[in-house]
Amino acid sequence: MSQPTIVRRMRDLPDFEMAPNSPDVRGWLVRGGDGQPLGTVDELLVDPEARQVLYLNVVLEAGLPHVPPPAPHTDHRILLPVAAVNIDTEGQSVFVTQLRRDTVAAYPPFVDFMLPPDFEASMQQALG
Amino acid sequence: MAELHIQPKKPAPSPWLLVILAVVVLGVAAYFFLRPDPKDEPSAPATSGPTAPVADTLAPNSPAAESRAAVPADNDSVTRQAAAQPAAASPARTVLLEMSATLTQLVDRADLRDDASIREQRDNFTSATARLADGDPNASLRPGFVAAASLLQAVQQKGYPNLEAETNKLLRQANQLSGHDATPAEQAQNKEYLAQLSELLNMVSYPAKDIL
Repeated sequence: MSQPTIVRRMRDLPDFEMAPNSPDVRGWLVRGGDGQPLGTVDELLVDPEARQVLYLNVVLEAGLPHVPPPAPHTDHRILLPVAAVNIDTEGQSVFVTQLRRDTVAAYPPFVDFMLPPDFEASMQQALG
Repeated sequence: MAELHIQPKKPAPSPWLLVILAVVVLGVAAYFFLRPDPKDEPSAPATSGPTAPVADTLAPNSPAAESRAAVPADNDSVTRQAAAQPAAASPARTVLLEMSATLTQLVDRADLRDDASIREQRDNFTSATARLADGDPNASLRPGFVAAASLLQAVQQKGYPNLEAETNKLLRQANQLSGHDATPAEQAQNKEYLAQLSELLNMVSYPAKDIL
């Protein structure tokens, strides 16, 4: 039986930093397949053992179509697998071509730091 | 498809290493700033001046009495030096300032310089003659006379017990002086004092074993 992957927030790992050829995308805009902004990268979820960033924790913009407003003092967040995005270093943007502003409402929201076992499958299914 | 990698941060240098480095830097700086000035090191005594050669150049077996006999008469040297100085400087002031160099060299001698009393008296002497050296025409000679006598007394107490009477007499003499060099009477008193000071300075210029 394989060991479960332990995912940590980058800010909780003060002894780690981004590798030289890997930009720190926190604060960068996330754009959909149509180039329109969907939100902003707020945090990186990493696997310290593999020394890889696995997911981008994205805060969605307010007012996206069909996205219900978040509870007071909360944000509407999604996780994006790094393997599913393209990074534009010069434009400091992250592109996720499979999503658009009008389809992001169908993407599973990330409501808790704990990842349910089937959350990965849900994301992959939503991304086609 | 993107890939983002992370890496462990490179370990920062140990704070103890920085502390040790700072201590080393401070040590080096302290060494350069606090080391003894070469000018303060004991050096060979000057051969010119109103007094005789200093003891360190004397052969160990030479009797002090013979050496002292070779020293020119100090009363004459006082007159000669006064004549060579500008009219503004009194003869006594000139001689005292010239003797101050010899006195300073004397107390820098290896067997005298570590004595606390001598160091204190030397500082007093330096302070007392500072105004004279600056050419202040109103400066009294008396502090310099008394300080010189006190300095010689400290030297005597350090290593020349048989000169106690002479140094006491010199100190009394210094205390009785007016500190001025204007009238013929004052000049005569000053000259007498300086002659006595010069003679005593000659005596203590030789190692104690030659005197005792």
